[in-house]
Amino acid sequence: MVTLPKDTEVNMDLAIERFGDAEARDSLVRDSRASNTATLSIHDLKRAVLEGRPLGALGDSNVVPFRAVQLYRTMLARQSLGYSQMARAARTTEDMRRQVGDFELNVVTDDDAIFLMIEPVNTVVPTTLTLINDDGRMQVVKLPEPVGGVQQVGFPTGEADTNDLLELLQDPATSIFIG
Amino acid sequence: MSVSDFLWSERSRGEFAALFDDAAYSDAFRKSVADALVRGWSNNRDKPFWALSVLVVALSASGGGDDGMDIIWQGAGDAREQLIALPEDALSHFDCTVREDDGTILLGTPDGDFRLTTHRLRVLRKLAEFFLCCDEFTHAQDIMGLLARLATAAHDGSYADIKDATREFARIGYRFRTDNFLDGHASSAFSVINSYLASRDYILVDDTIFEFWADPDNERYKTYEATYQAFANFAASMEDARATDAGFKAQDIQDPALAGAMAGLVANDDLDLDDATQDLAIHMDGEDAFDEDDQIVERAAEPSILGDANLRLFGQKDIVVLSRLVEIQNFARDHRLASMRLLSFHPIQSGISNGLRTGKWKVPLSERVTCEEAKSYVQIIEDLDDLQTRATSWLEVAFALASSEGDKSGTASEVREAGLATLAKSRSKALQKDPEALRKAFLEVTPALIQARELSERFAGVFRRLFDHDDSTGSDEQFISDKALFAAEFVRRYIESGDTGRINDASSISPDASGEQKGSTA
Repeated sequence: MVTLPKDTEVNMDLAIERFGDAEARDSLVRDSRASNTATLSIHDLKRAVLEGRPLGALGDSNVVPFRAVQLYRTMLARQSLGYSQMARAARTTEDMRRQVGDFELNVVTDDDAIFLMIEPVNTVVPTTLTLINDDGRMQVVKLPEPVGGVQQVGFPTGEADTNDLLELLQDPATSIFIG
Repeated sequence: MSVSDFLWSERSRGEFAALFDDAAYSDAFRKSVADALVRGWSNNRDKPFWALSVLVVALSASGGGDDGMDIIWQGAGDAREQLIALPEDALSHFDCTVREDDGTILLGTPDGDFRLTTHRLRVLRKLAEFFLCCDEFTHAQDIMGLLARLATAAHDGSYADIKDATREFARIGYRFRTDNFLDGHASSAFSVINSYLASRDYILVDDTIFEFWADPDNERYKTYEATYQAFANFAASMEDARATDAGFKAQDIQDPALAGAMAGLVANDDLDLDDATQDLAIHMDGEDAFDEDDQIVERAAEPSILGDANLRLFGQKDIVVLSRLVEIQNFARDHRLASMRLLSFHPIQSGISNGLRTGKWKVPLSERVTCEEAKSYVQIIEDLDDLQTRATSWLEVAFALASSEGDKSGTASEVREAGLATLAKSRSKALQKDPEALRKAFLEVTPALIQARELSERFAGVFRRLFDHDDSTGSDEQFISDKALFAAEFVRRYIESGDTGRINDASSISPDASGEQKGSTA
């Protein structure tokens, strides 16, 4: 049996405030056990991007929120094998070459397709190429296994996705991450 | 009167829960993070923000990135190593030292010292993660800006810059709470409990909690667990208010020390006084930013570390129990029966809630409400004994690994032998490591092992004394009558009301506590 202080003995405003804090804490913990939520945590960002979820507005659980792109970018900068924040594109007509960390990224334009070619350094073989523009546009390209020392992936020209990719690649405001 | 189940906005609940998706975390750890988020440390909501800011500066000074996000990418263990390796002259705004007695990191600022254990580093990391993601990443840009500013301040900036960034950080914290927490619900809950207890002369006995919960007028707390916590919170807040109030009354306003502090507050504070973060300046101007209470809390180890894949010394069920004991230890001392009821019957209610939520029943509802699965009080005490025995064995192993054969004294070498024998007997794959790795891993979990042994020993004793006046079957008699009480209440709530389509207090669903999770014991 315990006798608590009576309401006449304490500063009730203070007691209410402390009680509110404690209830805030406990209910948060209880609720966290119940939720299996689609909410993105910082750890889910990479997965969500790799799943190919589009960038999107708030309230849609199946998108990568625009507001998270910048955060994702700093994360990639830490975790990538190579990245280039500022474009140092050396363009010759349609083709271009870009140094991304230790990697050299070449874009070769053919009649009906464009090809991205990456030469892996050492023995590390990257699996993804991520392009993020300052304006929030983003594309993730999954890289195949290297053939003859080069990872090459082709896109048919004239298609909307390919055009977007080309535009991103040619824009100096696009950061490129290889990871 | 209709009462909302939830005190927090739906979004904030999801965001807080998502924080713990990346690994298995105990309730005790979640509670530490929630505490830092809503209550701060030592009743100062700004302290965690302060600690985070100086931590970011320290990590950046020790060769971290210029984005100030090392704590996020590195993890707490690496952050600790980095701080230990920090050259003496690396920091210009405050000191960073390693305490020799307990190996904690001490960040000494002009406004007070921050003592950071690995546990606290983990809490701060989660806090930073939370603010980057909360409100659907609304503050991500701002927080990244603040972190980068702090990183810059490490090399090229003043102490005032760090304070400024901290205030902005804290302001985001306040705004988050204002926007997402329904304070009104908490204060009305307070009034309800207050008038309930006032009518009983403020006498709180074990049965009070059950009676309040089972009262048909109680629409607010659907689970026994939430009721138990609310009474524990009520008792603590009343005690706290009395103690704080007494402190204030004792210190006359004419007291030069108090007058000086108040003058300092007004003179130093360049913020709008209405600003919620104003008390940053008040509370931080002390010798030590943490009081004694803090140090006790800080010593509480994180039980889940004992179940970590690295060693896997205890199973999930043990972690759930330990986590619960850490949580209730103060209140449980005076309310033993109420606490045993929580340990025995909350898993049943949690299982019911889970079933209602998911529609999957391992045991049908009609059977579950009978509480046949509930652990008896005798069983709970025996389990605690067993937990204590196992914790002791693992401590012997830890000792054996840390000591050398040179320790010839009788007891030491006996303990060492026992430890080596336990290790040799174990077939656990997690323990098949080279001796040095094993030694290190055990060293890391030793505080948690000590805590596990102390808690299980203390609570086995506390609970046993409850039935001292009875014969050896006494606790089972109490259990049998309690089982009937709880069964009747569950029937009333879940069967007679027919309200089974509705998620009944989702706030208490706990997969861990439902007893359905596979537990592995080493």
